[in-house]
Formats: sequence, structure tokens, C-alpha cells
Amino acid sequence: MAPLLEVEHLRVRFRTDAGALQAVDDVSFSLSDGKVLAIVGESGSGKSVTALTLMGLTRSANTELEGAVRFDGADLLHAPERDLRRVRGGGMAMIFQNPMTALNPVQRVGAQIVEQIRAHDRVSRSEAWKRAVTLLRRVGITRPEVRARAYPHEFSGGMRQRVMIAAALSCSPRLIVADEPTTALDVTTQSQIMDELEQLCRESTVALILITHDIGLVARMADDVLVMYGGRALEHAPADAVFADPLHPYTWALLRSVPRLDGDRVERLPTIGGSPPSLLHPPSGCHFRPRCPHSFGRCTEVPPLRASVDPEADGHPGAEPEGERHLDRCWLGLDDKRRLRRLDEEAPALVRTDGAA
Amino acid sequence: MARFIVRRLFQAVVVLFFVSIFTFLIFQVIPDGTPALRLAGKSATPQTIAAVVRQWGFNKPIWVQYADMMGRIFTGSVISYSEHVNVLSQIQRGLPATLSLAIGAGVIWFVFAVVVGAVSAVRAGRISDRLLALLSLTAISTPTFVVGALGLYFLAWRVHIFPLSGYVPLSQSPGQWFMHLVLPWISLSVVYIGIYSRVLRSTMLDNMNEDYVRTARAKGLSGRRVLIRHVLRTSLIPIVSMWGLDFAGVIGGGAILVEVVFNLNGVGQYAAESIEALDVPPLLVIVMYGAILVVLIAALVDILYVWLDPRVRLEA
Ligand SMILES: Nc1ncnc2c1ncn2[C@@H]1O[C@H](COP(=O)(O)OP(=O)(O)OP(=O)(O)O)[C@@H](O)[C@H]1O
Ligand code: SF4
Ligand SMILES: [Mg+2]
Repeated sequence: MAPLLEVEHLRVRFRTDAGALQAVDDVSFSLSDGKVLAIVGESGSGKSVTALTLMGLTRSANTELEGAVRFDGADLLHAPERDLRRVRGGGMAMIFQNPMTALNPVQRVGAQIVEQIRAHDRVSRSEAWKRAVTLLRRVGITRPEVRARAYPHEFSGGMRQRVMIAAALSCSPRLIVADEPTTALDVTTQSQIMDELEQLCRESTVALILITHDIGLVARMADDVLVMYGGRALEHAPADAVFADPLHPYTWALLRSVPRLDGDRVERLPTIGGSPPSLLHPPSGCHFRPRCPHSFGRCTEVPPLRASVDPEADGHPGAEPEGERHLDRCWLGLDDKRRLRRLDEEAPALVRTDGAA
Repeated sequence: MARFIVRRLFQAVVVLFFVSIFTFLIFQVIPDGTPALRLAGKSATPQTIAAVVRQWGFNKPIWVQYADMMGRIFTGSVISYSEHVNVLSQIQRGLPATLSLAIGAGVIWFVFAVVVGAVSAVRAGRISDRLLALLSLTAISTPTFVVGALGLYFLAWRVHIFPLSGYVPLSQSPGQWFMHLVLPWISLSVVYIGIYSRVLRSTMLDNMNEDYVRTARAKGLSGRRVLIRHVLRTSLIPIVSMWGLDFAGVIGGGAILVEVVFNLNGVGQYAAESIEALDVPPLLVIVMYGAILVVLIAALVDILYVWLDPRVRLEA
């Protein structure tokens, strides 16, 4: 069976006044029904652009798109706008980062859900309204018949995000793309909302692409992980494999910068020393080179994304029999990676991590 | 909401009170306005003048005169100095023309501004947008009477499409009513279309980048629906409140020039003639009625604004 979503060699380039900006550079992944893919990476690594491009929301006269996005077998990247519209909010729904601004301030929340329902299903207004009320109840909004008539500013941030989730669920999507859905919320609400979202997706076997900075959340929810950096995928593997045997120096740094569980949880990943590459003028070769403590001569060439672990020969936890592979984009050999990673762990000074403690 | 309305209307009454005192005093101090002399005629004896003073109450304390005048304004029994006619009936005679002019122009400039503004926003940066920008700027910087004069010259004098001047009541002949008003409407609207369409364009361009517009697209709505229901709907809010104030302004005196140019015999023209004749009572009445309208409409617009923008509603 073909996976629900297949993204192949996706490239997104924006023509800007300052020059061409390669926001997504050769990203591939696939996702089956009911699975959770986490996309992680620092700010500006191209996560949102990837997500928006899946739905055709980055299309414009100044955008160049390459590669393929197949959803349920149909190509979306080059599909006519009308076909895309059917997918948006229908088969594939999106939840955005900031619930404060993502809802129309002058439209009742019920009407915003009704609008989406009626864009996809031929139902009467009152029928759609009933569905909206049911959805609001399902995402945990009390007295939904009354609350549906309220405006976004009458809701708290968490409640607004629940409204967004209700809207996302309204047309029985098979995939939800959640772009940092809880970043703008306080810590308690964050975990509540994520629990609810996870459960709702489970109930209806909805696949989820979760863009997040919260490594704890990734560990808890993700089946697969895609680590992005400077528009490229640096590591792509089943979640267990990434946590047990991270192969890319950037991923090590990312995982090691996770704040302690007993402390206050931090919203954003603490920064790794140095700054992310400029997408307008990226470094040649490996994008991580300027910040990588292990770079060597070869790194001035672009490393390919490839499997360095042979699941047959190497029985590590991520190696699943049906050929799910552990890919990374680094010139180091497998043995070197593991050795250097251990060294890094013993001598934290080698990797410059700031603000973790 | 109800509390807001009550408060807003109370405010309106206070404003009107001050406006009335102000206008009354202004007309007390205008030179050559000593009304008794003029009322009594050229060769009046001191006795006649004294009689007039007593009859019209000019000898009473000023606040009594003020109260008298306000009382008469509200009972509609003000008499003009120059022709000794009831001012209210004069105003009533001019009202249909003035209202036809103002309402028609108001509708025209709002509708055209929305269309022009929306088109420029959608086509931002393209040739059509630049062309509309040029037109708008020209419209904004052309004085109303120039537009009127040009219209008269080309469309009424050179080519007889429209009548030169005058007003025909709607009840008498809708077609003639319309034809007589086309040029006045256009003259009055042009500036506003220019201004409003520019404001709407920039508001829409700002709003297009809002997160909720992206959400709307992500819901699978058609481009047109996103534009109308989400971008335009929120962008109309500032335009509507501008419209209310300008419309009130037009009724409260902004249309005088156009009425005179096209000889519409409206209230504005009556005011202009009264100014020429230094006839104070009609001016007082027109200013007061105009002020009442302006203040009332302004209050209504505020209420409408709050209704349009639920975010303001809570704070209100
Ligand atoms: N429409 C656009 N035109 C030009 N550049 C864009 C556009 N959208 C995004 N970019 C650029 O693409 C790059 C990637 O942005 P993106 O929003 O995908 O980052 P992100 O990984 O989601 O970061 P964050 O964690 O901050 O959300 C950024 O440098 C951004 O400035
Ligand atoms: S390719 Fe070189 S620079 Fe890039 S991560 Fe690997 S070792 Fe570091
Ligand atoms: Mg983002």
C-alpha cells in the first residue's frame, strides 16, 4: 500500500529583493495513515515553509517549487488550484502556531468552522452549525452551543487553539499538519492540548505532522523524526533510532540542549552556539560546517542524505525489518560518528551548547 | 452595548449644547448684524426701532434671547429677518434636493471607492494598480468646483447629455431627478473616491498578510471568498467610520458649493444666500440642525463601528 503522503526531493526557492532564498532544499519523507512525523530544527530551518508547501500555500509568482508532493496518490505540487482547495481543510488540515492571530477577529468562531465545513461538504447552514457545535464539544469546550456564537477575543489562548483543532477536524482529514501548535501557550495548557490532539488523531487514525521545538514532545509522540537545518534534512529516521543512536552532529547538539526534565520546561530549544546559516548566502558544502566541531576537508562538498547504518548487520533499535531506514547527511563514517558522539558526551565543551542548564 | 449607546448619545447632547451656545454667540458679534435697524427699515424712527427691539426681544438679557431662540428652533417657529418667512418651511423646501445630493453621492463614493480600492489591492504593483493610483491622486487633488465646472462644460454645455442646472423632485420625474443629479453627485464624490480607495487599498494589503487570511486559505476557501469575507470584511471597518463622518460633513455644509454651482436650491444654497444677506436666523437654524445631524450621525457611526468590530465591543 502506498503511504498517505509522499514528499520527494522537495525544493522551495523564494525570489526576494535581496536575491534567491532556498528555504527548502531537497527534503523527502513519507507518512502512513495514523502515524506521527515530527519535524524539528532551529528557527528559520524551513519547517513552516515545508508544511505550507504541502498545501500549496507558498505558491506565488516569486516562488519556485521542485520535486513532488503526493497525497493519497495525487500530485499536489503542480495540481490546479481548484484541486488543491479540495485538499486544504478537507483531506489535509493545518493548525497554526499562534491561535491569537490565526482566527478572524470579527467572525464568530462557530461561523469560522461552518465556513470550512461548507467549503467542502454540501450541507445546509444549520446542519453545518450543528456539526461545528459537536466538534467544539469534542475538543473540550463547555457549553459549545453558546460559545460557538462568541468571537475569538472572548476565548483564552488554549481555547482558541481548541477551536483551531475543531476546525481542523471538521472535514474528517486524513492528515493534520500542526505547526508549533502550542508554542504560544503556557506550559500546562501545552501538554493538555497535545494530549487531546494526540488522542483525537488516534481515535480517527489521522496522520500528524508535528512541527515543534519541544524534544520531550517528540519523544512522547513521534513515530518518525525529521531534523531540518538550513532548509535541508540532516537526519531522518524512526524516533527510537534518533534518540538511541543519533547520527548527525547537529542532532546530538539538539538532543543535548534539551533542558532538564525536573526544571521548568523551556518553550524554545536552547540555542546551539553560533547561528543558523543564512539561506540567502548559505555556506558551501555541509550547512552545519561553520558550527560543527568535527568538520574536516570533505565537508566543503554537500554531503548526501544516505543510510549509514545497515539494519541487517546492525541490530540497533531503529532498524525495522521492513526497511525503514536511518538517514543522515554527514560525511563522517558510522564508526567515527558513534565515537565522536561518545566523546562529545564525555566532554561537553566540545559541542558549544548555550543556555541548556 | 446598551450602556455604550446611552453614553454615546448623552455625549452627543452635551456636544450639541456647546455648539448651540457657540453659534449663537458668533452670530451675536458679527458686524453689521444689528438686526433691529435692518428689521425696522431704512427710514425708521427711533420709536419704530424701539418697537422692533421690544417685539423681537433684543432688549432682553442675552441668555433669555438664547433660550428664546433655542425654543423657537425646536418648535420650528423661527422667522427670517429679510423676508419675514418661516425658516423651517424654507429649509423643508430645500431638504429633498440636499438629501438627494448627499445620500446619492454618499452611496456612489462608497461603492466606487470599495471597487477601486479592492481592485488596486488585488492588482497591487501591476499596471492597473498604478493607473488607478494616478487617477486617485488626480481626483484627490482636484477641487470639487473644478470637477463640477468641467462636467458642466463638457457634458452639459458642449454635449447636451445632462441638464445645466436645477433640481427636479423625485416624485415629479425620477428620470429627470436622476439626470439633474448625475453631475452634482460626481462632483461631490470624486475626491472621496480618491481618498477612500487609497485607504482601503493599503488596509487590504496589510490585512492580506494577517495570519487569519492564511488560515482562511488553509481551510480550502476560494480566493474570492478569502478576499471578500476575510480581507475586505475587516478592511471595511475604518472606511465605514470615515464614511459616516464625511457624510455628516456633507449634509452639514460640505455640499454648499455643489448646490450653488448646479443651482439645486437645496438647504446649502439657502444658507449661502442667507450669508450674503446677513440674515442670521436661517443661518442659526441651519447650523443647529446641521450640527444635530452631524453629531447624531457621528454617534450612529460609532455605534455601527462597535457593532462591526466585536473587539471594540468588549471594551465599550
Ligand atoms: N514567502 C516568503 N518569502 C521569502 N522568504 C520566506 C517566505 N516564507 C519564509 N521565508 C524564509 O524562509 C526561511 C524559512 O522559514 P520558515 O518559516 O520555514 O522557518 P521555520 O523553520 O518554520 O522557523 P520557526 O521555527 O521560526 O517557525 C526563513 O528564512 C524565512 O525568512
Ligand atoms: S558533514 Fe562535516 S561539517 Fe557537516 S556535520 Fe558532518 S562532519 Fe560536520
Ligand atoms: Mg515556523
